[in-house]
Amino acid sequence: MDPDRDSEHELVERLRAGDVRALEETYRRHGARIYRVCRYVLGSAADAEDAVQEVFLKVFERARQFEGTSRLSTWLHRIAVNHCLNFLERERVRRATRLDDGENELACPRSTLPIDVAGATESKQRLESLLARLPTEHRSVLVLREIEGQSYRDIAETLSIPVGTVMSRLARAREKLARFIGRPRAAAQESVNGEHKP
Amino acid sequence: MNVTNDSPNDEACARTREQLSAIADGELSTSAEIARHVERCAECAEFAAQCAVLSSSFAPLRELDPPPHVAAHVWTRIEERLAHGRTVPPRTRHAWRARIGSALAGMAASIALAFTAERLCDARSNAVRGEAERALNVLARVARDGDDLRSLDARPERQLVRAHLARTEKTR
Repeated sequence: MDPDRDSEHELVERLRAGDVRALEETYRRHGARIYRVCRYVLGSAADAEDAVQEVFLKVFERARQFEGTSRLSTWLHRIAVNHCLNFLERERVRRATRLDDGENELACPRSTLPIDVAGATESKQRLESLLARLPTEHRSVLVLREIEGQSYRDIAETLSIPVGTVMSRLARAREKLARFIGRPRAAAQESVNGEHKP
Repeated sequence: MNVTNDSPNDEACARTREQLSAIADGELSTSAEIARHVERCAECAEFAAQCAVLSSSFAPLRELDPPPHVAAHVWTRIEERLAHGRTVPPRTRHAWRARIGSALAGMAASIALAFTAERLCDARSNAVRGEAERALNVLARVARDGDDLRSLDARPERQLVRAHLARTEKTR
């Protein structure tokens, strides 16, 4: 018998029954990890706060749909990453449709602002800014692997993609990141060009 | 270019880097083929070293937890939204910043409105007067809604306001 598994099973049953205290317990157990994922996939603390709210509200609404075939944490991560990717896509479309070329310079997303990466003194900030310049599908796998420590199988399950795709996206993400670190200007240029390759 | 499995070429390098990345994650064991490739390919050897360095550089990002007041605030908002329905917006500090930004944009639009009104009074030709009136209407709407000029949906409106403000600037 696995006490953690039993406790999770009980928690899920309470969530399905619409128990708000069960949602609070889920937030207490998993909130910080979900915040981290949202924070680094979205590249913004404020957007991450909004995203965490949305994720847990969705969890509460969809608890009855959770079949229990995956772990609760995997399901939460899936909802979080999908929410973040949808949010980023909506933002991209919104900007593309509302702004003409002359205004892009003023209102381009945070992830494409041409900041001086080489001048950043804090390595954490520098890594965050480089991470934000990766295409979203690469950023997601890298966050789940490097920050959440998920296995390839868990990442595949979270993102609903084959393990082979996880492997290739991670390698591409690392190649890009290594290139950005070596040539900071390439980071800004590639993100401005909107490079999105699998 | 040599295209055997373990010789450097684009395809072999791409495959080897996927494997090196997986090896760095402990998801794959190394093989003689990979070792031979890395021995002959300086770029893949460098990539293997970078994978290890990159992984350790992520350590500080793993430590991030939301500050306690943020965690508490987010839960309070979740409870409020559960009680009042999903139509209630997230209203985080981000939203407050956006409101302040809108208020500032509204003030800027009001100032532009004042200049435009002044210009309207001075306008001598009907063409200039017509343009100024249309620009005035757009700016009045922006100021009323506390919105940003960039949020104007119609491109002709933006161009009209821009052209008018540029002309106003020149004649001031």
